[in-house]
Amino acid sequence: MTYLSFFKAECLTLFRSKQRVVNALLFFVLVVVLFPLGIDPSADFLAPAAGGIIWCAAALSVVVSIESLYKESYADGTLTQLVVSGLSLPWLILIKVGVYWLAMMLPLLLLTPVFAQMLFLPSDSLLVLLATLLIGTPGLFLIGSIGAALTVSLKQGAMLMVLLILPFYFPIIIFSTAAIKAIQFGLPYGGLLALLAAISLLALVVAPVMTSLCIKASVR
Amino acid sequence: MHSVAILTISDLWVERGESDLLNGLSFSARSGDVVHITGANGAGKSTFFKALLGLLPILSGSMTFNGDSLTQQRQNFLNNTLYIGHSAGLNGALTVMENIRWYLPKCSEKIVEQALSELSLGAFAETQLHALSAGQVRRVALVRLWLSEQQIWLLDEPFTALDQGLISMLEAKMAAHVASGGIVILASHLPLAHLSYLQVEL
Repeated sequence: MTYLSFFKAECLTLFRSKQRVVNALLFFVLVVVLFPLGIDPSADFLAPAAGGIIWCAAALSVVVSIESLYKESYADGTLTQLVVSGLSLPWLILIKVGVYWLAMMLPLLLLTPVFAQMLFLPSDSLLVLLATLLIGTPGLFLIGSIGAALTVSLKQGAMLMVLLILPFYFPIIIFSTAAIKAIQFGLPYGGLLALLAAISLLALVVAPVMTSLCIKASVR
Repeated sequence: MHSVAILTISDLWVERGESDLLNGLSFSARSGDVVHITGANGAGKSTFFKALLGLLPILSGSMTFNGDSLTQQRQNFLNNTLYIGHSAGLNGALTVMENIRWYLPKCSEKIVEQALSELSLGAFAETQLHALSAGQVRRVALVRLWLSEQQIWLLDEPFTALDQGLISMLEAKMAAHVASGGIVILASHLPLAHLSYLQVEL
């Protein structure tokens, strides 16, 4: 096994089991569409709330889909093979999470301008929203990966995983929505994007190592 | 003939749950050796493999690889080892060929096709694994084993779901592997009919 062959295998696996990604995107769409119907469809309400609605929908769709990230690999023994492959497990995890992030975020980023329009988000705010999604969501996936690995051997681990990782999502959601609010009020938002980038970079360094420790403990 | 021990296990104890397993297991494996680990269910056969692979901490004893502590040589050891456990370790969403390409990206297509034909899997090369039977999946794992270049084969219950013809074939492949300087360590309830081996009872 090489890192390249693992990357190709991951892409193929995700393509074959695309239902998981489609379900997560469908969940995102449903939350964004239903929210205005349930609260208030007027532009006065939606324009300032749009960033928050889209971010909460994105975070929730990541939470519901990432729980199964390692489940199948654990069940068919391929997770054990990754551990004993002689390749660096944190790098393999990074590849796995990276492929999943790309598969989910590319369509989500393409859908976002449509929903931003629907939620009356001003066009200058849309660019900041896209920037926060690009910078912030890697952190969501990487933190989610730790939770998924921690609960991979549990049969009913979904709720436990949500409880474990959701508190770590709060800063990402807060800084992202604050950046979108800042542009709407004409305030500087660069610092908030930098904070988001810092969280994602920290997760990039810590999460693969933490995840590999959790996986090693699970495949014993 | 083969004087230098590649892998040495001395007085090994491993803790698993509430019990201490392996009872001070000791043996040495040289190039060309087949080590057959036997023992009742729960005696610690799979636990031994996991300890060897670094998945479980050892309680006491030592393991050396090429004369150095296995802990220090772990990376080197894993690079030279192929482990096939109770599950085949294959991806159900991928086809037979894609699974083989994943594990053995440098292996030529012709050689892979030959190995697949040898195990009557030629017609299933482009079939997804979850559409195959347990026995066929096990055969795919054997293709991977046969085409691998690793010196040490660690096989936990390798005869599971195999018919008599395949068991003989696997034994022949193990014989060829050790004849070329490899080492096979296997745990199985079945005796090996066509191989001379070192038996280790747990």
